[in-house]
Amino acid sequence: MRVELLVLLVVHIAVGTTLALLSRRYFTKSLRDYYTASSRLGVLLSAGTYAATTYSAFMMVGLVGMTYATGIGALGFELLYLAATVVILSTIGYEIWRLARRYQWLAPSQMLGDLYNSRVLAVATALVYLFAMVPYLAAQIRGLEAMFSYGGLGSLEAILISATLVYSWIFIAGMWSVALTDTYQGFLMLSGGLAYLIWALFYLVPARGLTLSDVFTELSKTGHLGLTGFWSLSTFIAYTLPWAFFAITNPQVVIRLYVPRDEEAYKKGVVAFYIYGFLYTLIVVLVGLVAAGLAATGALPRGLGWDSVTPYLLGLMHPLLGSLIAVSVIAAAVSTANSIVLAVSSSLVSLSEKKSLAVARAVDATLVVAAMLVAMLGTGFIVELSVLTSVILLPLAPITVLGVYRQPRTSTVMKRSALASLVVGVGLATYYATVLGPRRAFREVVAGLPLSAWVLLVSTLILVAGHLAESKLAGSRGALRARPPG
Amino acid sequence: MNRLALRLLQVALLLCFYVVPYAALPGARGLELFTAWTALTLLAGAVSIIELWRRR
Repeated sequence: MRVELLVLLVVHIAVGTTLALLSRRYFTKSLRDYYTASSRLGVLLSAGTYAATTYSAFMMVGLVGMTYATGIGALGFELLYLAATVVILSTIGYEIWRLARRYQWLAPSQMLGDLYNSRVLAVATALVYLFAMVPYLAAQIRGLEAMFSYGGLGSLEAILISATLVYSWIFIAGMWSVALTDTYQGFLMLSGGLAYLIWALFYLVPARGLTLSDVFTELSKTGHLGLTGFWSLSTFIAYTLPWAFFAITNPQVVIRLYVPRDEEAYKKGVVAFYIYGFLYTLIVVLVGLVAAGLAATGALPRGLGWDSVTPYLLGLMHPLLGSLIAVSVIAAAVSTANSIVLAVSSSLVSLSEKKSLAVARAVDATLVVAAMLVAMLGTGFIVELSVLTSVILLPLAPITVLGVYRQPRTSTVMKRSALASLVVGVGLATYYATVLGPRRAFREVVAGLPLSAWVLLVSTLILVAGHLAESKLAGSRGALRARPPG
Repeated sequence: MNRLALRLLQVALLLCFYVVPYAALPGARGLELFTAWTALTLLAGAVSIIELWRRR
C-alpha cells in the first residue's frame, strides 16, 4: 500500500466534495438546473468544465503511450482534434448556444428532436447515446485501475471508489457540482501534466546520463519525429475523423454548449478552453516523445504497451510526485465520467413523462452501476474503446449541422431521412465492430477508406438525399399553388 | 474579410493537417511536422477567435 497516494487521494476527495457542497448554494433544484445549470455559468466554470470533460484519462495514459509507440503522428491526431473543435465552437457551437437559450434544452437528443420536430429521432438518439456511451464510461473507470494499483489498491476497490466518486459529485448539485469539481480537476490535470513533463525533462533525462539533444537526435534517427509505419493515411483518417467532430457528436460536450450565461461567457470560455487544450496537448505529447527517445537509447524498455508507459514511468518517480500525477489522472477520468453520466441521463429523462430530480438521480445511479459492471467484464485499450464510441456517434454530425443551420425541419421527408441517416450510420459501425471486433473495425480499410469515413459519408449522403427530396417536393407544391385555378 | 472567406480558411487549415505530412513533407524526420502542426493549430485558433468575435 502506497501511503502517499492514499493521502493525496483523500485530500483530493475532500477538496472536491467541499467544492461540490459549496455549489449547492447556486442550485435551485429544478431539473434544468440539475442538467444545464439553467445556463448560468460564467467564463471560468464554462471553460473549466468543457476542458476537464473533453480531456479524459486517455491524455495522460493513452496519448503518452501512443506517442511513445508511434511518434509525432500522435501530435497531429490530437492537435487536429483541438483545431477542429475550436472551429466548431466558433461556428455551429455558437449557433447551438444561441438556440439553447431559446429552446431551454435539457439534453442533446432533445435538441435534435426539436430541430427536426421528431420525437422518434430524439428517442433513437438517446438510445444511441446509451449504446455508445456506456462502454466509453466503462473505459474511463477501467483506466483508473492502473492508477489505483499504483497505490496498491485492487481492481474491485478501484472500480468501487471511482464509481462512488463519479456518482456523489453528480448527486450533490448536478451540473453545478460537476462544473465546479471539473474546474478544480482541470487545474489538477494541467498541474499534473506539467509536473510530469518537468520531471521527464529535468530529472529522467539527466539521470540516464543524457541530454535533450541526445534524445531528439535519437528520435530523429528512429523516425519518431516523422510519420512512422503506424501512421498510414488511412490510419490517420481513421483516428482523426471521429475526433474532429467530437464537439457535436458526444453528448457530454454538446450539453456544455448550453451552460454559458451570456455571449461573453461563451466567447471567453472558448478562448480559455483553446489555450488549455493547446498547452495540455503539447505537455502530454512531449512526455511521450521523451519516453520514446529514452527507449531508443536503451535507457527505458522498448515495446511497452501503450497503456503501460505512464504506469511504468510513475514507478520511477518519487512516490509523492508519482501519487500527485496518479491523482491528476484519476481527476481526468472522474471529470469525464460524471459528465457522461449526466449527459446520457439528461437524454433519457427528457423523454420521460415523469420528469423529476428523483428520477434523474435514479437514472444516474443505474448508469453508474451499468458502467461498473461493464468495467468489471470489459477488455481492450482505452484508446480503441473511446475512439470507437466516436465512430458510432459520427452520424450525429451531419444531422446536427443540417438541423442547426436549416431549422426547423418539419417535413416528413426530412424527419425520415435524419432517422435513416442515424440508423444506417450506427448500424454500419456496429456491424463492423461485431464482425471484426472493435479494435480491428476501427482501423479497417474498406475500398481505400477507413470505417469512420464510410460512416460519415453514408449518413451524410442519406441526409443530403432527404434534403434534396424535400426541396423538390416543396418546389412542386409551390408550382401547384402558383398555377391559376381552372 | 467576410464570413464565407473565414469559413473557407478554417476548412483549408484543417485540411492542411492531412496535406502537410502526406503531400508537402512526406519524408520529414526532424521537427518539421511538430512545427507545422503546431503552427496550423495556432492559425486555426486565431481565425476561429476572429470568427467568434465578429458574431453578435
